[in-house]
Amino acid sequence: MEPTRRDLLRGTGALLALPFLESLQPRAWGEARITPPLRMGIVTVTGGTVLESWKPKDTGPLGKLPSILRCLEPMKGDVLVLSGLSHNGRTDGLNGHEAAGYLHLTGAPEAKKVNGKSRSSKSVDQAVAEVVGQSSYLPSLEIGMSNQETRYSWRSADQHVPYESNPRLVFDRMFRGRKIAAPDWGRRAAARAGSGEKRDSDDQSVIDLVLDEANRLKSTLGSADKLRLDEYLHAVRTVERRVQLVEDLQRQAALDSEHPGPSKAEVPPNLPDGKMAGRMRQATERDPEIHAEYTRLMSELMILAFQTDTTRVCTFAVGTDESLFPGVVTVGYERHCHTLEHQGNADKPENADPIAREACRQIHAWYTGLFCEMIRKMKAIDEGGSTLLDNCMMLYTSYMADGGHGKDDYPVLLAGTAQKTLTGGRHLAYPKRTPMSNLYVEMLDRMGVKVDEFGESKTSKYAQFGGRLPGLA
Amino acid sequence: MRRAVIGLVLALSAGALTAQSPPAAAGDDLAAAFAKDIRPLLESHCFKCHGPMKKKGGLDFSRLKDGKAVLGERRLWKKALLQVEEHEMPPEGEKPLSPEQGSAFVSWLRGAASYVDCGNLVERDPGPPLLRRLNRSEYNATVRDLTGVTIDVASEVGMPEEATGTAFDTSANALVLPPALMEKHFAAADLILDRMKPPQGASPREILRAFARRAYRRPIRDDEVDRLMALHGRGVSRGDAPEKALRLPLKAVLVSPHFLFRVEREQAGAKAYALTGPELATRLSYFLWSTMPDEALLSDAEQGKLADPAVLEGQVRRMLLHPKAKALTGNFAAQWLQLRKLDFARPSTEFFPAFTGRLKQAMREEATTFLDKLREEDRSILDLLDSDYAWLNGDLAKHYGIPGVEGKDFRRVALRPEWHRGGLVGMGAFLALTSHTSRTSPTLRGKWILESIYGTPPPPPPPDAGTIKEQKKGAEPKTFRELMAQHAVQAACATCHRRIDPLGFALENYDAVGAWRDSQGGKPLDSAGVLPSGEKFDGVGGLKSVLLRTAPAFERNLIEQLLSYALGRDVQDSDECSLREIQAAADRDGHRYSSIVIGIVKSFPFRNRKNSEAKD
Repeated sequence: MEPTRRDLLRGTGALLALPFLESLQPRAWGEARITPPLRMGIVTVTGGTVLESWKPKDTGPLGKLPSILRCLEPMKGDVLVLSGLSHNGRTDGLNGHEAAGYLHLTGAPEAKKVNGKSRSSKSVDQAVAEVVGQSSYLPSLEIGMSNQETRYSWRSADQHVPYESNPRLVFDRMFRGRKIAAPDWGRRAAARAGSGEKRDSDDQSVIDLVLDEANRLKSTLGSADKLRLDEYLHAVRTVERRVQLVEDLQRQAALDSEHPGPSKAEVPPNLPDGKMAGRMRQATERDPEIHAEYTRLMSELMILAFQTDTTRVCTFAVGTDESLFPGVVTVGYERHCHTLEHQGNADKPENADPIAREACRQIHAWYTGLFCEMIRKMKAIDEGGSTLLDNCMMLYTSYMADGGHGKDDYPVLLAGTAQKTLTGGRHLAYPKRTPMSNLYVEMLDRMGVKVDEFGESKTSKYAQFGGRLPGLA
Repeated sequence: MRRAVIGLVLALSAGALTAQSPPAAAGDDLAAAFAKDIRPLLESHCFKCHGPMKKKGGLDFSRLKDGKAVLGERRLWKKALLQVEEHEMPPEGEKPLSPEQGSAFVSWLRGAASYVDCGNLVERDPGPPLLRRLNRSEYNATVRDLTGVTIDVASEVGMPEEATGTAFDTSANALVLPPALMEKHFAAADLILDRMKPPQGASPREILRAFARRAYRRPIRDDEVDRLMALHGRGVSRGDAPEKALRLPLKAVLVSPHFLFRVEREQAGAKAYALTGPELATRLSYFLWSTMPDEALLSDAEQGKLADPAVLEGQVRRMLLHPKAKALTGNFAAQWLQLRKLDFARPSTEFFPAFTGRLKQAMREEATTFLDKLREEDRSILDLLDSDYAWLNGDLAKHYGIPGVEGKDFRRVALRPEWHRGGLVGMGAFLALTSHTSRTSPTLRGKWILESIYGTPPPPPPPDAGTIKEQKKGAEPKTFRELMAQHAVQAACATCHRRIDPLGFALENYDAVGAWRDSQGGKPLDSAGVLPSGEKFDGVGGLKSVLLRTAPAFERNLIEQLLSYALGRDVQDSDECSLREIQAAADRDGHRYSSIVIGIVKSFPFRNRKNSEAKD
């Protein structure tokens, strides 16, 4: 007897590993034109920055970089530093960290908590994933340390996306039932099989039954409960579409491993097993060496995800405010990041404790050092005539502008020229309080998501430039 | 508008939160006073911002005309009371209330904020009906009891932690079902079927009926079994072995809405009605055990026996003594008292070498054992405020400086006053989870007391609050206490911090990891405090007398929290009479753990529901 579709899925664990896709429309045929595809990465560091050691004094061509950015010096042609960008959204019922966290990637005009339940709006990574995510194995990847307060990614106003902090689970999610291979972009054709029509499979029969049960149940329920059941129906139908897509994706993966591209994609050599990975994540807060090792490992997973076309959208939340930094911080006696952020950021920098501020500077120079390592690695990956970095748009920023919950004048830089749609080597200063949302509109645009506005780009009272950000190219 | 500052004043003022109902006449007096004095006052002092034109904060007092209708707005008056009492409203720069107007207004508000007519039982409202998904821990426990599969299925397939914010993880509104989670349920169903022993029975039909009955927690209709059998037929017709052919229908049950949700059906009529037996059994079981009903409960329910209050009470007493009732500690109390934050407690071994993972674990067990024993021995919940005993093991006793306790097992220790322990505030867990890396935080400790003991959390600091200002040269503050005193000087901070900080300072004799100390850095400790009411108290002893004196407010909060956990929704105005009845019954029964639980189970909103009319 021929193996059933379900046997096939179960055998490979594909259903388990496959991400959900919010809306599965036929993929764009135009994909063939852009080979390799453009990817968007966001690396967001906890705790703001120390702006006087981040922001170049002059605008225009980058001179000697300030101390926090110093390690980017050899690659500054690939770097665009942006200043003056802010979040101006209103928040209600949120503490300082939540307020900044909820606005961070959403640029929401308003974020709040109602009866303990959080609301913001769709974040830039999820808006991109909704469209671009249909072409890759995972629509998007959210990794690193985001907690109850620092919720960055939002699928919709009331659905935030959890971040996976365990590197082993990230890896498993990417490659369970799949071979690791960098595609040969020259070869990969746009052709795709699979009609998406309903098929007679075991999974389909289970789905048919529970949909039937749910519809019967729905007719007996009150209106409020019906809404909840609609959520169930939507969820099951999404799984149904996913089941129908599994084969196509697997065929693609098989082709990639037969015809790999010029760069070699490999399992990170120091990837720990599940239990150790959890322990490693726990230990990051106490030991900066483990913290660095963990950050490098997660960076490698992000690079691997792009290199193998596992996803084209990835967000990495780096560090937690609760981390301790003995050895990284060499001044004063305090080593606790959150305490330092507060001591180092009074109402004005000049009123702050200078020792704590120096400690914050040391922490951020340390974080940026790890980001530099990541960018260097991306620059060394050949995708057939261009590097991975050339085909990426990497946003490096923080969820707060400074350690005092500031939302004004964020540290922002873009690395990678996004397939020549960005011109690096410059510092662009925008008028005070220009919305970060404008940058998100530009990023969406480059990722092929055409929107008229995003977040507060047009509704902010500080709206500028018709909701766009001029001069990036 | 500035945020409502929820104050200790209210929590500590007698009467307002106690269980007595005001006399019926009070309602008429309040209504008359509203028309005569209060409405004009609102017009002259409040309408400008909270009237038909501006409606600041969504508030329009002009819609409140007169008569008894205004007395239904208890929550509004409670909020207004705090604002006016604290002189937050009318705000600076607006026409102030004269002292006479102010005191008349406050006294009326106090009456209106606590007025409720509990005489009219016919019109009781059980609150909005809610279709609740099993949360992550309920799902795991239910799978364990239904299938015998004991692994952590949710983690195994990567179901995300429930993100319900400050609400309990039983909160229906927060328990959404995104597609990503549904996908995990399909994966989990496969995993369970791989691991479980195939269910046995006379025929596939009977096997499926019995399994579905337990999974759906109710009797199964024939047409439901027919549909499962059709799926069974799919395997049979292609020659699957009997056990394999059962997999498909079993999988369908495990991803069915009847399993994943706790379904309660609409009944004819517009009024509130009693839940069916199985529905009540399901509520009860998830409340006390966080899992499905066992056979004893389900069969009583199916036979309609739970309608008899004595049978219902008997079931509750049986269930409270069952080990599964530990869920009340692990799920309810751990969330209520924020015990889960102990995992992320900040004190570091760099500053506190004693605070090892092992000690932290002992602290957790001290708290959970105390709560479990409170339930098993059915003691007074006031033991949580102060007790002459503690549950300790060797490590913890040594940490607390209590002699004569050895070994890692926890045992009951009779306390002496000079050991300074007893009650929640003497437990290392709560003292440590409210501390900073290198020091105590009186603010976090005070906040914990306001939140957990009284249920009156202070609002978060405004996002631009920044930190304490350093003083200019020559006026350097000397002690920690003096530094902290700046909270109370800076106007933006003072309103809240003069409520929060004194409670925390009373606990200064406990260091950041809960060890006792008489001095700090060679200087004697200052643990004296003044409540906003002007009342002075000193140290943990003084704090405990305040706690015990205000025990009704604590008990009321515990009842509100437990009811909210049990119902999966916030407590609302219509629950007021039930809350008072539960508290009155608990008071008559020596505040026993069981009296509160039984009060909740017998309460109107727990046993009843109504049809949903519209989008909630």
